[in-house]
Amino acid sequence: MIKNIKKLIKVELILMKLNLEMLIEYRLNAVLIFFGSTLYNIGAVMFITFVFNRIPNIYGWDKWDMILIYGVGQFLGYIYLFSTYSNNHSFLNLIQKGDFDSIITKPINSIIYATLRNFSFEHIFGLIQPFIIILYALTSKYYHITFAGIIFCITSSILSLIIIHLINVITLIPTFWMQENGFYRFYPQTTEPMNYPYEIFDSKLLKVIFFYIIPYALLVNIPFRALIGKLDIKFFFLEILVTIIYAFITKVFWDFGLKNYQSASS
Amino acid sequence: MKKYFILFKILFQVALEHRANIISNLLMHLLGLGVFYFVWSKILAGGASIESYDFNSIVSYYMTSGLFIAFFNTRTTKSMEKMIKDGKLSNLLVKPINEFLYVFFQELGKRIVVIILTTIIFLPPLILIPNIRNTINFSLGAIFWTTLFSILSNLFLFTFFFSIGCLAFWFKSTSGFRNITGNLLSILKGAWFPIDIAPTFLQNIFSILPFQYTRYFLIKIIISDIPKSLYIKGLGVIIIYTLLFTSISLVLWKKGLKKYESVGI
Repeated sequence: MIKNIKKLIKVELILMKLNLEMLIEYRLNAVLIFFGSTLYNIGAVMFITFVFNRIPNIYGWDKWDMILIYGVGQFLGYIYLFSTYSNNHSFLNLIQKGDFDSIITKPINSIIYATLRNFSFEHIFGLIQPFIIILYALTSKYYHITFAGIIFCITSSILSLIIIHLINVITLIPTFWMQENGFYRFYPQTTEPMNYPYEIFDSKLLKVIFFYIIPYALLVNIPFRALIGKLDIKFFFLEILVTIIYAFITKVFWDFGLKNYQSASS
Repeated sequence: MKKYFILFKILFQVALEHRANIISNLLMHLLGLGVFYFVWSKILAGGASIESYDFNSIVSYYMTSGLFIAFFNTRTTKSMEKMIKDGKLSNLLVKPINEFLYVFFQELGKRIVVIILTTIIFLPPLILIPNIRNTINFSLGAIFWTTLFSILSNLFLFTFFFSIGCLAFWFKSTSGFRNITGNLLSILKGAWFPIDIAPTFLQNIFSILPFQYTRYFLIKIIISDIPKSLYIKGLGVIIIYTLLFTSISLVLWKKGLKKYESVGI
């Protein structure tokens, strides 16, 4: 088990190195992408400002809280773009061109190897932007930040990233049957509610959906609330539980999908 | 022109072959609009409003915007980059065709399928949901102006993205340029939020740029009453920029061809 994990880490590090070398080759591109995402963030902060100039708060959360939660969400978003999103197209290509055989014949975890092969390092540089947004909010309003809060924030961010990746993997699995699959856009198209306080999920049905089934109420809110010292610890444990359940479900679906994989060229 | 129409027809048929992909993408977009609906219902809970937008009109805004998502976009740039980088352009250069028109009809063939499917998916909610239907202007005048601006918008967007695609002659990848234009345009054309909730000085700047006439203005024609003078201004702006970017495209293409070395740039 430990040997396998070591092997996996070694492979992932080699893949990262290869992707980093590619970034150096395309460095101008990386700079332009950085500016592109800066425009996106400027637009988002402008939008929050326009809305909250007219509406004082949402469920008791004001403009600075909303900018801060957006910053935390973007932090997760950039890591998602770095690690997960850039693999969607390559995964589809693997299936469509019949190259997926080369994945399953390797003595390595196929979920990780097939869905974490490409790393978009240009988005890693973009991580500076959420930090600036977070600092902007933290310096504009007083928040009680503690060391324990930061540790909880980091831990729950890692859990959120795992869940996000697993959601993405689940949306890729239909490719085993359909080959043409646009469902991988599910996550990027539906993330908007994550950037709002979870009180917006105010009915029983919404709570069941967004806390347990598609846990958008947890992914950004838990790190955000941990950071500002307003974490309800039971939701942190819920996030751990959801991560485990998601990992299990993903594995079951993946194995089922693999049984149906017939190599596109065959 | 016959050869271009044949090309258009072939690409239209090819795009139809990939309808499962297009439909699943559009369904994801529809889901995204559902998310907007949900979020705005919370922001404007209890009858609140922002500028002239209450909950019904903001929902109409985003639902109507769905009709225009299939217009020419950065895919044109990407497809040009592929053609230049893969050396497929060489096949075109030896044929008796105009490359500008070739790329236009090729991309149009792909776009039309998406535009048709988008209309099939997004039009019914506008007609069937009473709260939205009440905010929509289905008059002949509105349909005429929407159609006219849609055609002009697509012509402008094509020339704009073609110009950016020409940069593939000089740069290893255009994905950075695509990223910048994609993000910038989503603000400038009002895809993200209605432009009239922005401060006046920004609205003034946006109004002399062509981008808002490719989305925001089209939505406003359908969901509100726009003074006739603005139609004339809009037509002027979009026609001038289309001519400007057509010239830029042709100059860049000509210069780019001198740089082109067939396969393996």
